[in-house]
Amino acid sequence: MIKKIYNNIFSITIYLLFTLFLTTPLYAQNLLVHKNLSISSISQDKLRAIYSMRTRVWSDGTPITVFILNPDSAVHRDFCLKKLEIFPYQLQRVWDVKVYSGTGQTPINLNSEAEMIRKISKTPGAIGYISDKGVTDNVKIIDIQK
Amino acid sequence: MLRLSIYKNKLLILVFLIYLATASLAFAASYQLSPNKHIQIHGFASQSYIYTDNNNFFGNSSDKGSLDFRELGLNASFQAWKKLHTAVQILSRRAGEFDNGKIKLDFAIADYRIKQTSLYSIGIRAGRVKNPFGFYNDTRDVSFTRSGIILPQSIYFERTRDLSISSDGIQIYGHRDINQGSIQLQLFAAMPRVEDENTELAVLNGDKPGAFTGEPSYLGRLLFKTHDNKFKIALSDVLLNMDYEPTQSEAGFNGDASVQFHLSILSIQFTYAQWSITGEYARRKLDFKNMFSAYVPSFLSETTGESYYLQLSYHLNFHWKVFTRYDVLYQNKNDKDGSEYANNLAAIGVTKPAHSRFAKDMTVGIQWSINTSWMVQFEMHVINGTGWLPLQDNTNIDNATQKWRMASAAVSYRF
Repeated sequence: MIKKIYNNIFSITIYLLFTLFLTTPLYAQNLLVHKNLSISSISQDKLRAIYSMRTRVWSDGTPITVFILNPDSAVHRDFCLKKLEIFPYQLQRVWDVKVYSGTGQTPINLNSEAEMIRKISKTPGAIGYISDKGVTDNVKIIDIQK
Repeated sequence: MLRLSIYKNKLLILVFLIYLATASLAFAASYQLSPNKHIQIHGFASQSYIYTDNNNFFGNSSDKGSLDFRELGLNASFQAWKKLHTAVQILSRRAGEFDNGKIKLDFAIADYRIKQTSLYSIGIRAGRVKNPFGFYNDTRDVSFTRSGIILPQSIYFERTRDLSISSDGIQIYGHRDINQGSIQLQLFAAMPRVEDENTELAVLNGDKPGAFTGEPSYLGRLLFKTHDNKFKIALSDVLLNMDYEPTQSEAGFNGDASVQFHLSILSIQFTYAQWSITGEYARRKLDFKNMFSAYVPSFLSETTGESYYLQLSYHLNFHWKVFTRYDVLYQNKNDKDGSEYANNLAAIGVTKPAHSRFAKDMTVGIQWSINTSWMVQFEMHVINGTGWLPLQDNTNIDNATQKWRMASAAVSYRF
């Protein structure tokens, strides 16, 4: 009995250590917007306000459409941690509160980076991100200023 | 027959949920109508198992444990015009003897954005709107947004739930971004949702012949949070008014009987790396006017309760979170141990336990987020006092056990 408990604790510990230190590869990232937007950079705080679904229009009045990749994907997590510097679960909670209190919507979840580029190029006021590959002339890369 | 229709409703919701879950996998839960217009459909489902060594919480939990805590919700939101946002949510909740799983309209909101820039917004919401107070009330039925399987009961207790969740009225809201973060304000004038039996049990300790009616009530919340979400502070104030309409059989009323409930909450959260500390402090003033003294003895006609909790959480990684919480409720801050209450009632020949006037709950819990859609939780409570023990689940509440423990597990899904 004691041995069984000991074995269970041992395997749980191994599992925890494994998930804890299983690091994801680092993705260089590009922040993209629709090419008609007249901005070339954005402050980190503004980007956080946009990804928190609080700021809904650009300074010229164009409505903002926010795109994300699968929230469980390494690219999304990396975007949250490296660009927004907010834990993905914190951002998820902000969206949940908006959705389940009826006061807002979540960003739109896209399946692939190719779709991300396609959607951003077709949606005025759109913002999104991809890992560094595959940027085309149909979208605009902007910098983040901390 | 009644039971059958309950199950039929549940089955319908379940089928609808499965359908939508499948649909959402195929199309994502967002349907683009035009470049900037989207219909979004979201839902959640949660099933808990609760075991108590003494007393009952959500069903017959002290026997073999209870599976009578289940929440199903479905919502749709849709930007009708550039400035008009609409959202609807239906909720089926099974919670012991409180809620039988009947589908209820949780919110139905028309939200008009009067002015919106990249720095601030002002708008007005009308319809059935979630009551904004504390950090958690607006989404208290969604397990993914809660701080555990159950919220700290000292503040988010079940007894007055129907009055707490949402109300019909008009809300003015706004936000302003400043250098340090953002400030949000919500002001709400509404008619409370009075549900006869539960409200009477909560306020009068029993189902009386007369009935409560909701009167104009007011809520407000001012919230500040930093841009990085690491510091949050909120002040909430609720002024809830109800009248009691007696029947002819209830002799002894000499005027209009009414109840006023005044709740003020201070909420604070600090986050540092994977650690976060959350605390909320509440004062609850309960004021009875011209109430029949057999229902509310004169020494209870004006009482101020006090509640607070402190929770420490640690995220081990993206998937695992552990937390501990200490949660305290006093029904009367001037009689914390309930002895005066018990003595005063004994003097008029009524026996009530002193421990029904307080509750101190020590909780530890663990949460496993398998992915964004699925979550498993487990938690243990060691409780001294029966101050928030549901009256509906404990018909013989005067014989409830002062010191009790509760263990619970929950599986939740959302899309």
